Amino acid sequence: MSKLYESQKLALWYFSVALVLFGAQLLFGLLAAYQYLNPDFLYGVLDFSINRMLHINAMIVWLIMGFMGGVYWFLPIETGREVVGIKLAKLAFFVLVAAVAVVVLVYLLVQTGKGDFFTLWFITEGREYIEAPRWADWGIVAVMLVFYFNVVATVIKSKKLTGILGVLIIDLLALAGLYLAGMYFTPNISVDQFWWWWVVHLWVEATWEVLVGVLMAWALMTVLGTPRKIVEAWLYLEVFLVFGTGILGLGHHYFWIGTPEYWLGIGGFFSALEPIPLVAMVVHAIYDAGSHKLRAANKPALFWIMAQAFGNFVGAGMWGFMHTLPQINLYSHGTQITPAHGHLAFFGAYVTANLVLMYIAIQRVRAPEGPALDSRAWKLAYVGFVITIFGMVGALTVAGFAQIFVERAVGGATWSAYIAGQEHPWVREPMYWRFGFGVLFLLSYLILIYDMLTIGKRAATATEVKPA
Amino acid sequence: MIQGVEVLYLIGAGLVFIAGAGLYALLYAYGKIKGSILLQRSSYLFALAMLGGVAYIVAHPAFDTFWKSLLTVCGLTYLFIPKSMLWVMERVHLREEEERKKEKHNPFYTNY
Ligand code: HEM
Ligand code: HEM
Ligand SMILES: [Fe+2]
Repeated sequence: MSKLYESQKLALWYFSVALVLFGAQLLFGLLAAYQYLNPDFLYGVLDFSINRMLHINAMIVWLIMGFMGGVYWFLPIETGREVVGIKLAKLAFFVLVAAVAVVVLVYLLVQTGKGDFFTLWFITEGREYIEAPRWADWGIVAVMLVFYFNVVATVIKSKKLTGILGVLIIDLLALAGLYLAGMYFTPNISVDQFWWWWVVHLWVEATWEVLVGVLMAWALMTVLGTPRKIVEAWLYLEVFLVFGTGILGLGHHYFWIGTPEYWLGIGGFFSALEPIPLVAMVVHAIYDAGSHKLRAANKPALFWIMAQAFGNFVGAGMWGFMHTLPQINLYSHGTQITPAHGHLAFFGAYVTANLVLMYIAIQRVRAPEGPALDSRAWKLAYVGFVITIFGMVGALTVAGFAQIFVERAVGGATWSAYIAGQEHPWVREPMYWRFGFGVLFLLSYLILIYDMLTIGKRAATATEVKPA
Repeated sequence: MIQGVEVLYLIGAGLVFIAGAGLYALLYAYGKIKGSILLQRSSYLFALAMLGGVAYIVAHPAFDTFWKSLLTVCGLTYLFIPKSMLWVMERVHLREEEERKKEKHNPFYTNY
């Protein structure tokens, strides 16, 4: 087996930082979840709003870093050469990590500003999920330009523009371009939110979905040996369906923010169709795995591939559709139904995809020639994650149902109805279950980390020891 | 207008609708691959659940003709996804095999 490309070593750094930030995400999530139970906890020191911000920003950053790692991992394999500008790529990695560290420190130590331009530039921009201050925005743009240069220059030099790479190049351009929409500043809150949703929605329901399609295409070729023609044909179909439904599905965020009324029809119509590609992905996964009888040399990667197809369908498809028709969303908007869907969709579609990439890299590093990558710990982490994410999401769904009924349907969405909803036992108690499942989710994360540090190592030594 | 607890039923119907569509697709595809008539037949149970879910929403007075027709088309689409997806997959696999026979060595495959 040949040596790793430099680009693949860089991928390993990306994966490592991503995993650390995953852990940080969970710690801040647990703090925020605990503050639901005990609002005085750390009040004035580390408020709920700060913990929540750190929780979801850490999530966005680690998922993207994992995807970048995935691209740096597969790019040299796909093009058959080292990535062009690899020194620049490494520099960009350190710039990114340093910028993230500074932003986190400012979030923790300074937390808020006056809400003027100094705040916008140096403390926080205040747009949910992409709160990074303006200086960091430009830093991220610079890192993305380097990344994009790496990809395009490598493809040009290698003269191998495969179908997968073509989709990747177009998708990354859209993905990076959308980030600019998130920096557009206007004092009109409706206009501001209009553009902000372009980033959030058009990322997770269009460009990320396609990026993951690209990465999972390479993953299927690696793990199951699926021929290129097949993954490419499927990828084109997926791009068509995802963009066709997801782009205008954007309208499901334009129901109640002051945008024109025609968005009710557009948003409801297209987002009602959004689960179609997700169901098609399930059929695809069944077909691929079924014809291989679930046998592969990389057990954890294979099982996370399956989890990705189903998680995407359940989290985005089922939990997305149920509140996407405007007639229903009128009652469910902004209740605990929303984070129930948000957690299941992000985990099901994107955490799973990241774990696939990481296990593929681990196998290549630890056991490139076999034996099959397997352990008891990855199974434990797998089952733990699945049970606890559904535990948290189930709790939030129950609370959401109760809120919809007590506060909106019966109470008519008045202020006193809101309080009645918050105090209702069916809204309060699930917050305890969510915290409990959250602790167990963290435990599953720790098992995952243990497994990633050890899997393949013991197997390798065992085969070495035997002949002696 | 939606009255009281009806909104919860509507959300539940939405869940049943999409869950039914997914389970129907899963069992049907799996049954087809395994050549199991039993699995394929039982998949139709979930297709029924799916149609029940969407029928509940379509029948509700909160949705006017535009929404009723949209949701009906949606439900019918899910009915045909498993079959049409499998058709696509089989075609792609066949074409791929033929091409592989023609050009024995393709440098791209060796990378993986
Ligand atoms: C992997 C894909 C997806 C991810 C990661 C995702 C994630 C999220 C998140 C985090 C939110 C909350 C945003 C906020 O802070 O307000 C949200 C809202 C929403 N999502 Fe998704 N989503 C996905 C796919 C879908 C799909 C396919 C649908 C529809 C079929 C959908 C329907 C909705 C709706 C209607 C809302 C607004 C909820 C409200 O009114 O409060 N999502 N999504
Ligand atoms: C230890 C496990 C976790 C706990 C205890 C936890 C807790 C929380 C809490 C308390 C919030 C704030 C909800 C609110 O504003 O009412 C939140 C929001 C959020 N979390 Fe988590 N979380 C955990 C894991 C995750 C994971 C693994 C993901 C996805 C990869 C995730 C994604 C999100 C998202 C997208 C939001 C914003 C949702 C929205 O506003 O609708 N969380 N989480
Ligand atoms: Fe959306």
